[in-house]
Amino acid sequence: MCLGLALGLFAAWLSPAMAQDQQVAIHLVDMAQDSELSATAAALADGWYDESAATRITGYELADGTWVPFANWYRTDWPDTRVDMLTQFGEDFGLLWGFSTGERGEKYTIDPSLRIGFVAQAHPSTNSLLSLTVRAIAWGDLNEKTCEGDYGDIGGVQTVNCRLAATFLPPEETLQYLAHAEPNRLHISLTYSASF
Amino acid sequence: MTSRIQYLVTAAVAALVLICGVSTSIAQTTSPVFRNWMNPDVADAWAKGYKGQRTTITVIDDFTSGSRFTGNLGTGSLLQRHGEWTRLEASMIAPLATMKSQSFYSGTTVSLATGLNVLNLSYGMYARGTYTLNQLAWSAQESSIINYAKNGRAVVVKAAGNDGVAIGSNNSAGNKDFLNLALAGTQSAIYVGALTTNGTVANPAGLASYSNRAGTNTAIQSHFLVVGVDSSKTGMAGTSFAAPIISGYAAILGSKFTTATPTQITNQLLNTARKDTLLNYNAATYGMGEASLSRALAPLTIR
Repeated sequence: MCLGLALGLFAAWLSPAMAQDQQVAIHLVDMAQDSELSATAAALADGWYDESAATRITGYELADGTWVPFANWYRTDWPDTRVDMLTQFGEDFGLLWGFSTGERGEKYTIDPSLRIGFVAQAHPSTNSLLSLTVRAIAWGDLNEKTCEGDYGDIGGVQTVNCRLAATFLPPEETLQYLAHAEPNRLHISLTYSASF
Repeated sequence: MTSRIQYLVTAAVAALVLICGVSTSIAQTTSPVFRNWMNPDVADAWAKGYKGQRTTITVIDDFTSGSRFTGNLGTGSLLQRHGEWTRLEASMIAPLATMKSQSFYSGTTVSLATGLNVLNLSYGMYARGTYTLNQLAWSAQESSIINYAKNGRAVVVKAAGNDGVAIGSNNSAGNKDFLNLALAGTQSAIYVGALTTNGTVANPAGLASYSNRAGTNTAIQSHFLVVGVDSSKTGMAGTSFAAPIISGYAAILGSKFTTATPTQITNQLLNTARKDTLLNYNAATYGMGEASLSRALAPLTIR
């Protein structure tokens, strides 16, 4: 399910001024389901293109011929959703904070994350604006889970990479290829705008 | 009794040339190229880097006679001896397997290497069908091969034969392949028959008219596989060219299941063979079915 909740700068005034001489406002800056790691997880379901066979590998047959599609393992009912808030202190400084919900499929997880940073701005001239945004993300890793593959008499029950269990890799070596990805930990943006 | 070695691809019998202890190894250095006579499973194996490494295929065959014939396995037309063809074919399926060759005229014990051993036997030992198995006096060569199969020390891949009869039956000349009979009931032998082409569910393949079939002996049926030998693509026919494909498959399986015994490799190939790719499947014709490398490599269950 993808709600497409990219709202842009919502700028909702959620809290009244706390003090007359120093207003503190909280804004909802952004809320979206556009996580790169969600896309990465979805790509696992798409398999890979095998050039030698000129075909896309999106699953495999078990020894008895039963088809096992990757798609069942890497789908989710709730994509990773992030919420970014801004607590504004005065005209030119604000604290960015937020979180992401994380995501869970049968064979992977994206951990929830904490997002924190600040935005500061200056006015080099009356018609220009210099803005610095720094945001750090803690946690939020994508980790692929393992499967238990039963190879019968020839190989016994082994912990394997689900996607590679029927390839020509020895079962134990498939674990080297478990997907792991981290979000972009630090985002720094410096922008300058001028109006004419 | 008298016995003779008969090529399974031709009716000719070469003059016996006694060369003792002929055994050579060949290192494969060229990159493998998928050929149209191969099953697509083979390309998948290579794509993952599995080419039979850490295994040894020993081809016991004719490497010394003056008898040569022309074929083309996709590398251009060549004029080669029977053993040179079967060795080339097996090495093309499992290009990183260590290839060893032993002249079947040597009669000497077949030695085993460390790791998984696969013995390719694209020949038969024929005698009058009126003899019985216990009347035979095997050479050290065949004795060692039969014992390896009995004791599960090597995967012994045996071409089924080109007489168009059930294994164990007399051919039209009244002769019988006693090597087939001697391997019946052993734990790590595989008989290989030839299909006219690789089978698919959409286009199931039939047994080649020349190929021996499994017959009614369940001990043979349960160790009998078939693979495609498409003579229109290679210019060669015969179960001699079915066996090296299974030898290559066994080597590739050994690359994945590095601690598996020859008997386990044998059983995996037998138990995962397909029946839905064969025309009017029945065990007396096709035994366990068409070998499927991809299914042999796959788990029984995944969760």
